Amino acid sequence: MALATELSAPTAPPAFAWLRRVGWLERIGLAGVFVITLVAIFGPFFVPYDPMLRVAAAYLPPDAAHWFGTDEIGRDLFSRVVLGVRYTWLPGLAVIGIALLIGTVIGVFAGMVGGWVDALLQRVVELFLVLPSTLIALAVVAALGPGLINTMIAITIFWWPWYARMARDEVRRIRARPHVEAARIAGVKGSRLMLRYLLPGAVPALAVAATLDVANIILTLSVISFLGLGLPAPAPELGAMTSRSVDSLTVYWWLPIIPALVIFVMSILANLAGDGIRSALRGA
Amino acid sequence: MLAYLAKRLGGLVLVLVVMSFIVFCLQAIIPADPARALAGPSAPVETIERIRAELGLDQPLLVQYGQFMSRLAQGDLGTSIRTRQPIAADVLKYGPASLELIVFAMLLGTSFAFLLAFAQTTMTRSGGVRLGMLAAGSFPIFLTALLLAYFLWFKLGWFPGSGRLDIRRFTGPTGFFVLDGLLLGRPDIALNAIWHLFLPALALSVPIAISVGRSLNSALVDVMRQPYIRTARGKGLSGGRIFFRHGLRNAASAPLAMLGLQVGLLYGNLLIVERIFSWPGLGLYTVQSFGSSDLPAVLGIAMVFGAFYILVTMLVEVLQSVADPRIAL
Repeated sequence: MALATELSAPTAPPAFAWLRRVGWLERIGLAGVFVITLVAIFGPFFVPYDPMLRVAAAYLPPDAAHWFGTDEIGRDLFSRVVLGVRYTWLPGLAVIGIALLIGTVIGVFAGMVGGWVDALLQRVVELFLVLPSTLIALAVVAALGPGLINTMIAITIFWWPWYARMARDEVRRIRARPHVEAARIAGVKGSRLMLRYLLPGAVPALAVAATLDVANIILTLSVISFLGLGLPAPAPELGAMTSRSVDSLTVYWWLPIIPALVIFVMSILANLAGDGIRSALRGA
Repeated sequence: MLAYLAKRLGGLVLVLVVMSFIVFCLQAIIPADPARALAGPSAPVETIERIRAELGLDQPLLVQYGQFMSRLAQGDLGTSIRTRQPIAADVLKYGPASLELIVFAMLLGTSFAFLLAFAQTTMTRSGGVRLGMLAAGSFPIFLTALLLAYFLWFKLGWFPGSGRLDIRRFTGPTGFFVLDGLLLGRPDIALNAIWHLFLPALALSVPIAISVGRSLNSALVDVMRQPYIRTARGKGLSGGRIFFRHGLRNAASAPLAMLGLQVGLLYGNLLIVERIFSWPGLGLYTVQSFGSSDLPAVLGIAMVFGAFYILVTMLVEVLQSVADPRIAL
């Protein structure tokens, strides 16, 4: 044990050394993701108008009073979009979190135990990975009934296997390392071996994969919402706002375009942030 | 090679069986009663019971699954609640439009993937290309489609923004209008069909081009560094011959697999693109079925797409082993 402690004692790196490995574009992404999270949590409390009520004439183009214009019944589009960011961003993070949790627990367990448990997991994961996931996820949502919770369940079902496989592969790799062997010989086993010795080694790869996946999840959620399988009508989900106003594209362009642009901004910032975290962890 | 393909085929059939099982389970758990939906809201109880018996819904679930599988094997996908037609007939009616669109999107996507891979490989400091690909990969498909429709159709009027042809009520022997135009000796119809295909196919091709281009680029960078490429250059072979015969052929495997995977992801995008461009194919059909809660139709079409995906995956396997005979070991 003493040996393990000595080996793991780090020479303290200067604070924020990781930030120097991150390019300026990726820094914008990291800052942007932080800002989006703040907007998603606190934004709806500070919007200028009530997003669910008629506050002005219908179909006003964007101007100083209504930054994004107003919609077909005179609701303020900016206020609705801010609420829409909450309905897209927070479920996205939640799906990633839950899938990561399920995948990591199952993957680390299978990697540690090995044998037939591992073989079984491998087959199950392979099956999930070859199934056309968006197709079945959409069918699942259609069958369970539209709604945000059902959407999240359907996406999570098809997302955890990726993390399970990654966690499993990482654990198999780390198992052979001297520090794990030393811990085993010292009599560490079970959940302590899993949590203290195996899991930390699998964290960097999983963290990078999860942050890079945020953008994918946002896009998948918005596809399902666009198809009318998300929250029901008055709720301002960004994808649904776009799809409800598709036919007014040539007359009131801001109604379909602005919510779709906001999804684009969220997804590109998440992609950049994912790249940033990858380069930050690469040197660590 | 044949044994290998047979083994792969077995695996893919297993995937199809699992998919059909999921679809069956989804049909079984839904709260809506299909017999009542088919009979209509004011039907007497006896009629509902009769339809239930006809559909076999009064049997135990395991028997129902057996019946479901045997109907599926005969190509019977059930009856749509919305159109009141057999779903298989609807597939034959709307399928060609979607297939034509998918084929064009794959062609466009593959060509763009080559362009992207070349742009990335040749520009050594390709920060701009990288950012562009990142941005294009972050576009929600409906934003791509809407921007294309807004500028190229509405503002500039270069391409039509909806439908398959300018003339109405055209029917051809195959349902693939480009092919029909050529078969009937009407190249104007074929050209008109291609002109209508362009915008929706372009919107669909963007995600394909990005992921296949990325994979092609990294495979090419890897392969062109190999010693045998240097040997070929030392032998005095021409650049084109080295690239196509020695480089591209060895790099083809991963991008081909990616192309196959993209077909699996195409489904959601196809629904959206067909909805935005009013393309009368299976995607629009599915969107309309969502709208009227026509679950048998949604699940039937999902099965058809699943089978199509598996066919494409098999085709990819064959192409991979043609490009690289070592894969068939």
